[in-house]
Amino acid sequence: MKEDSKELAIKYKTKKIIDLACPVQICAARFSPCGNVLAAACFDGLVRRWDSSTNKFTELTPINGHNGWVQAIAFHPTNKVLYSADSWGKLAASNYLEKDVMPIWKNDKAHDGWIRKICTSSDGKLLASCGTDKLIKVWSATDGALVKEFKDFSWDPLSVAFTPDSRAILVGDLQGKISQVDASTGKKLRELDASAMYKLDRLQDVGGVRCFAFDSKGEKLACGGINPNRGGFVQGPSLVIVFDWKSGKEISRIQSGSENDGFVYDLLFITDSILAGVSSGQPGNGKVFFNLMGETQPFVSLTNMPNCHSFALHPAGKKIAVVSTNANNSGNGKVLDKNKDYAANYSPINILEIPS
Amino acid sequence: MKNLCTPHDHLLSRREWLGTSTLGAASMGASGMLAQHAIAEELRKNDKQVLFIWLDGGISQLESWDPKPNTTFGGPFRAIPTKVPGIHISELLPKTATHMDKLVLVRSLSTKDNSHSAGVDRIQRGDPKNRGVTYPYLGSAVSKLMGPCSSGMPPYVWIKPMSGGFITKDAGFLGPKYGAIAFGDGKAPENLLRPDSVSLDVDLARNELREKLDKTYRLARRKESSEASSTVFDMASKLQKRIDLFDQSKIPSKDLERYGSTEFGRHMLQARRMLEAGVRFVKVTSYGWDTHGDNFNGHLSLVPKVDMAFSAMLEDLQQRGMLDNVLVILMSEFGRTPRINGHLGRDHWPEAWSLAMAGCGLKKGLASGKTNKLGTSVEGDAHDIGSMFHVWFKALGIDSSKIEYDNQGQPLPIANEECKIISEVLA
Amino acid sequence: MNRFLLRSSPIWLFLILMLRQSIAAEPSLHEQIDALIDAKLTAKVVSKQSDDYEFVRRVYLDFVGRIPTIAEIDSFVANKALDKRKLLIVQLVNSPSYSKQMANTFHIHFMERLGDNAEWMKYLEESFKKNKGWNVMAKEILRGINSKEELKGANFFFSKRLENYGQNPVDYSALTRDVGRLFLGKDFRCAECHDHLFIDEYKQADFKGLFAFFQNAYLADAKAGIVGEKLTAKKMEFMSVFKKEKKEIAPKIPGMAEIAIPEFKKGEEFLVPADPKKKILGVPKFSPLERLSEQLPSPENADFSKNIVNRIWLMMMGRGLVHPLDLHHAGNPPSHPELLSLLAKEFSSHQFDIKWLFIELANTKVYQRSSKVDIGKIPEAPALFATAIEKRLSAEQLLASILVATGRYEKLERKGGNEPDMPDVLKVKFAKAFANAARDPEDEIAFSLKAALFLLNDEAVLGLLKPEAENITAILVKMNPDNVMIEKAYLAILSRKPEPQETKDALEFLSKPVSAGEVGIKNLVWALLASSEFNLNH
Repeated sequence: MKEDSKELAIKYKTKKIIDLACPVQICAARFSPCGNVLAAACFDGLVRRWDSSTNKFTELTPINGHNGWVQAIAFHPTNKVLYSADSWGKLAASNYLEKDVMPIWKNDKAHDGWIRKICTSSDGKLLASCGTDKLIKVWSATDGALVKEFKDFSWDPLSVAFTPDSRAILVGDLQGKISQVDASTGKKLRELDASAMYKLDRLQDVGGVRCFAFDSKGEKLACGGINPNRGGFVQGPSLVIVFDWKSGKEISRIQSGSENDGFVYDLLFITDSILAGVSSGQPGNGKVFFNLMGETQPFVSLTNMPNCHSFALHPAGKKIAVVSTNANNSGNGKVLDKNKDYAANYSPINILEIPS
Repeated sequence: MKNLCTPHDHLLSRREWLGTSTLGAASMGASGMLAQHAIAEELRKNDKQVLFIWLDGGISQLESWDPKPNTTFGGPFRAIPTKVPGIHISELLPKTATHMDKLVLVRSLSTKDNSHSAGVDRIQRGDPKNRGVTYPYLGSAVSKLMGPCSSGMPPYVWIKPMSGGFITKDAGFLGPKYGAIAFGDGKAPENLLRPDSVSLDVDLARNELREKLDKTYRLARRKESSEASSTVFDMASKLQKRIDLFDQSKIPSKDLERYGSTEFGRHMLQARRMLEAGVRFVKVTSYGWDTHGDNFNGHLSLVPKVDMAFSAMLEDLQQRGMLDNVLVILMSEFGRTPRINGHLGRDHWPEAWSLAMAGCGLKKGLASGKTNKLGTSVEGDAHDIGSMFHVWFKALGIDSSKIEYDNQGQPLPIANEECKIISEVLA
Repeated sequence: MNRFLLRSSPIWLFLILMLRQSIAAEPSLHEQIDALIDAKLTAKVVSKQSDDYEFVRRVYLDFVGRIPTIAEIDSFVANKALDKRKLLIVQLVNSPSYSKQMANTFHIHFMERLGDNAEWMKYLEESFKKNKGWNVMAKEILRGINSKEELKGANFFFSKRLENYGQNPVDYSALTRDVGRLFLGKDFRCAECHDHLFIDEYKQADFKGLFAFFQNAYLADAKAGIVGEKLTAKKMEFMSVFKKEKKEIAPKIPGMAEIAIPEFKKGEEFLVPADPKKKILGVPKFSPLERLSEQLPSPENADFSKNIVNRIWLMMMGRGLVHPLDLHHAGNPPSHPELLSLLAKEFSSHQFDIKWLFIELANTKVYQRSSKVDIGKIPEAPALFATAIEKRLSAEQLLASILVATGRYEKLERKGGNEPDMPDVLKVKFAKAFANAARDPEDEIAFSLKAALFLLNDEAVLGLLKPEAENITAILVKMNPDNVMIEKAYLAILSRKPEPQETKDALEFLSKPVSAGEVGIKNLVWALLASSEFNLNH
């Protein structure tokens, strides 16, 4: 069924429900599969939680125990477990429904350093992680035992995802290579080419595959990053490449119009033909976009939320959480706020509603 | 629109800005000038050298020398211990951490300019008091004050990416003679190679005659105009004798492995060879450090490359017994903001930043000065770049309170006289 | 009393000259200039006047842009007329070569190697050919938006400076500084953000007032070099970083009144409304550039006159009366204040007649002084002009001179006019080796390692040494190594006869085994070409 862009634009004209205040910047936000909790991985080592069962979004006590940035979170598909990973290498599993959360299991040295992404297999058995130590690790979701470790030092892995059948793991790296690796043997099955998302600019490796999304049928794979023009302050239009999963061939490429747009940090197939995502580039720039498959430009592009780093869809399909950044978030020198303080930037969470 | 000054500068009243010179009339008298000449001669005899590594754009002090892990502005990285107990640096510099016993960190820099265009200039010129003259870059200053080493090699050499050439603007009022010879991507300057049609004998003969002609010319005229010419022809002949320095095939692959086969690694390796050949001042520049966006991935990519080459350099200089004679400086034009912007970058931060140095005339294994818990300001004495110039000159054996420039009769201090020297870092 | 008279006799002479002027027989400008210079030269070491060889070389370089040929030297030296120098000056200034040489000199002076443009050069050459007054030229250059075909080249001054590179925005600050420096002799660099901290006369309002002329100018067509102007409807806001006091300013030339910005009814601001579809540029009725071009180069603007005469003085004498050229202020007074005022006044009252000024300057004793001092004497400070200051040769003068010296000049193609065009390949190479970087004024001698390596090893230079047809190497090779041959070499290359010791040295050199035959001659020619004497305008 072919849908008209204009119709879709009306259909997906989101409405703001509420803004959630968060005093620090957020790396990622996700709704639990039951829809009752919204969790956000924060710069201050906390995983903040909100009660998302009502539109009041009351804040709950944060999960602590992490160091550095909590970089990634993932919910178990069925059990009431939230996994969190930080930039010092710790991986933890917590029961997210408890008021005062205690870890179910944790591993302080899961990786040596920054864990970039974690993901759970759809069959609920495994958890995969990748880090700056260039390792891909597969863990038992229930007790955190190490199941498998992949060491291929040519990777600078930035993102991981399980394939829909849970049998393989996708690794997207800094150089724009996507490797499909058998989860139990570690054997590389094939490679997909997203090298448009990489550039060596002077001394700096710029770009990388930052996020993955499969559609519900497992027929399409979308990955997001930047098409880098230059490093340093990093300029480049945001880039989404969609692959036909079966053949591994690129079927569509969505590149934004401005080189201020930056990285696509999060992607999600809202329906099998509509891909949504967020981008963040130069301060003040960033979009929430909804794209119809087959079209090269989004039918909805929201620019009123600067510097978006995460996009989460409530399981009921009607609410969206967009993590953005406060306005005026850049500046050389010691820019002070109204109270003459040198304050940190922060990430408001914008809760939007998709109208019926 | 580029603002050349920030409000920070102008807390001083005009009077304070003009100030009174710390060099009283007495030291500028005739005897002062004679003493200067004697000192200058001494300096020329010593073969101290400088390796000046410039990370253009502003390396983040929080992702290098002054990490603040687990604090509001600390970012994702950890800090690691170093060879010197009590001194921790960013996890991005593991190899350099093993050489901390050779290094001096200065964590208390606080400078005035937060722009690149003016900032780079001001830092490399020592941000002197404004006297209506353009001060020389450190390389040109050393080139003038100490002259070439006894090797006769050009005194100020710059190894940089992309184009090379003869960079005269570095020299400021000293004159183009004290500019830098830049080796673009380490390549020899154009026309360095004597063509086959000119044999060594012919070359010597023709230059001998040229010198004779110039000598005659000079007898009845002002010296300056023709002296410049002699100097550069002399330097040309010295350089031509060292063509091997530009021959990439002469580099052992083991060295390349240790320094890293990156652009920066290769340039550092060539810098070492230049130092070995007796170049007085070698500057190496790496561009692209202005990480206003994606600062953490940026530094994750950039810093380890510097870590590799820098530690290899320290090892090699030590091993060759050169570290006592070579002043090594690693720095940028400012640091980066504690505040992280929406592009996950850090912006310009001259307020409180760091540099690292080692070698000639300095202490070993020391972190001088500190910033507060969050890294938002210097605690204790803050130092402008003028203080570093005093330190560096002193380390090289030049007393900045006694030596001056003579700009066609106008005496000029060699370092900002309102900045104090940092004695604790000097040996 | 006598001692007093003796010591101050030049002052008396000046007064007498002034008296003469008021009576009837006015002293010429060049006489007045000499009197003022001489007034500061009592008890100083003053060089003699240049001999014929020095003079003819210098004046050809300054007005023709190359050294004289042997024939031109001989002809001048042999001339017995008492006023032959005067006549030669007039002849050269009125020759076709003059306009090309001045075009190049002014191009380097006012574009500072920012870029080249054929139409701009043509504009300059035509202007010098016609001897346009400097006030007219300045007006045309500062207009920036000349639509007349013969004036379009003048737009280059602005069009080049309105370019932007990559991510960098157009550098309006640099443009403003350039106009201040090059047309008013004032570098307002340190007055952009606040009043200048040391130079009391340079106010922030000076910078901002100038800036206001350019803020709405833009490069409409980069390729064609067409400048456009957006609407200027209100004053420009600014603030000092010192005092957070909001100020506003209309376009204003330092030292002159603010320009009143006219108000127009909405829709009536444009003479020609913009039509992007038809690619028609909007032309506002109020054009700040137009006002700039009218006001700045006016006789009322003392800065304007002082700046240009100071620059022309430098072109001739090697150093400005105010030095550096762009720092005219009370704390940097001219070496000869009355002289600067006199030149400014006279130039202005002579309709800024450039040829006239050059001729007057060339006829002064100070211009014709030798750059040599007696052996054992120490030359005085350059600002006294007691000894001629050696001047830098531009890359273009060097190229032309090398071609003359090696006897290749006559063979060059001449397209119209009388002076041939330099071969493009050589032009580029010489500019690369000898020109300064952009915005680095070429007002001082700077012999670089790059230049040395170029002369030593570049195929282009070495190729010129090869004996061909009737060039100098070919001629010398055919001669016996003796006095005559050495004299020929010196005349051809250094434009003078050698001293006996020099001849001896040269012959000794040629007698060495390594200098046998052609190799030795090539070396001799090379050494003369690479010598400081050849590479300077002494």
